[in-house]
Amino acid sequence: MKPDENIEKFVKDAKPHVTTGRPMDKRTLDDSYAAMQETLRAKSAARKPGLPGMILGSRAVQLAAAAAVVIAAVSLFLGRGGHTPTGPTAEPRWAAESPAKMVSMMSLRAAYRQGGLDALDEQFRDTLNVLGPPPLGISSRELLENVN
Amino acid sequence: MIDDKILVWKFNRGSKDALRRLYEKYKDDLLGSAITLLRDRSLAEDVVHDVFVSFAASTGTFHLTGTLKGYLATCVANCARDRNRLKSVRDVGLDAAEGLDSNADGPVESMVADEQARRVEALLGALPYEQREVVVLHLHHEMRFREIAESLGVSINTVQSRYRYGLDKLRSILNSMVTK
Repeated sequence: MKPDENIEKFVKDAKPHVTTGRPMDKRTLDDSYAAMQETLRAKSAARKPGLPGMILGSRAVQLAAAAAVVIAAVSLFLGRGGHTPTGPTAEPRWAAESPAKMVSMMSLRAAYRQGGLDALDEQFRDTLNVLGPPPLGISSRELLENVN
Repeated sequence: MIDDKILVWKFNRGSKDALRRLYEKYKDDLLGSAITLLRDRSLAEDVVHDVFVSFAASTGTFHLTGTLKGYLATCVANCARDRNRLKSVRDVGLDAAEGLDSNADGPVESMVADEQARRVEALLGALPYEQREVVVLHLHHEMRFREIAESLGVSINTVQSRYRYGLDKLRSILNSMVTK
């Protein structure tokens, strides 16, 4: 095929294949990370919390809130007080979140607060290593068995 | 494309790993385009560096409308245009193709592909910058004319004209080389 007959194909096929060098990669990534950190730092500094934010952000309040959530979850898990539905038309008991799920949420939150999205990714990878590969052809019944 | 959306989502939440993966995915293509546009490897590396640093600084606010590849390619083209205005581009001939690799198999095929790439590099260097830019964005980065027009801030007719005149000039240069 003569180049002048299909100049577009000629130019397209001759797309340059270059590779960057290690010094360029290091310089670019180092400077990019620094720029990213600077942006995040500036945003964090700009977001100064007001009084309600400072109160809610305090460690003591957060621990108290976490303890309240765990106590509420445990109480619900052990059963609701008051009405116990009976009879053929009774509604099914509401299934509360398990304490294990509450704990896993708290550990994920801690990882995120400590190391951001990268730390969360690492936590997910560690969890997947423990769980192993997913089972093939799991039924809906089997999936729901572990919900409660 | 879904990979890019996920990586951009993570990048906007401060993930260095996402930024690194985006850089490794597009760095070679972008460097190739920058070299084609500027015909100077050192300048081209500076342009790619500046584009990524600027991109990294937009974490948290970056909003992807088209393709990330197209966005970064346009940034490189814009940055290269600014560099081109600041200094006159030296016509370094075949030296501009320094570092070109070929993924063809075999030594003979590799030599042919490399030689063709060098020829095209030299041909594109003969075009005015605006025409070279549109040809590179359309043919090497597969951007549509509408996308190029929006990115460069010109009308689609302007883009299509530049492209047409660019190809016409390439064709006439090739024809004159063949008839000699």
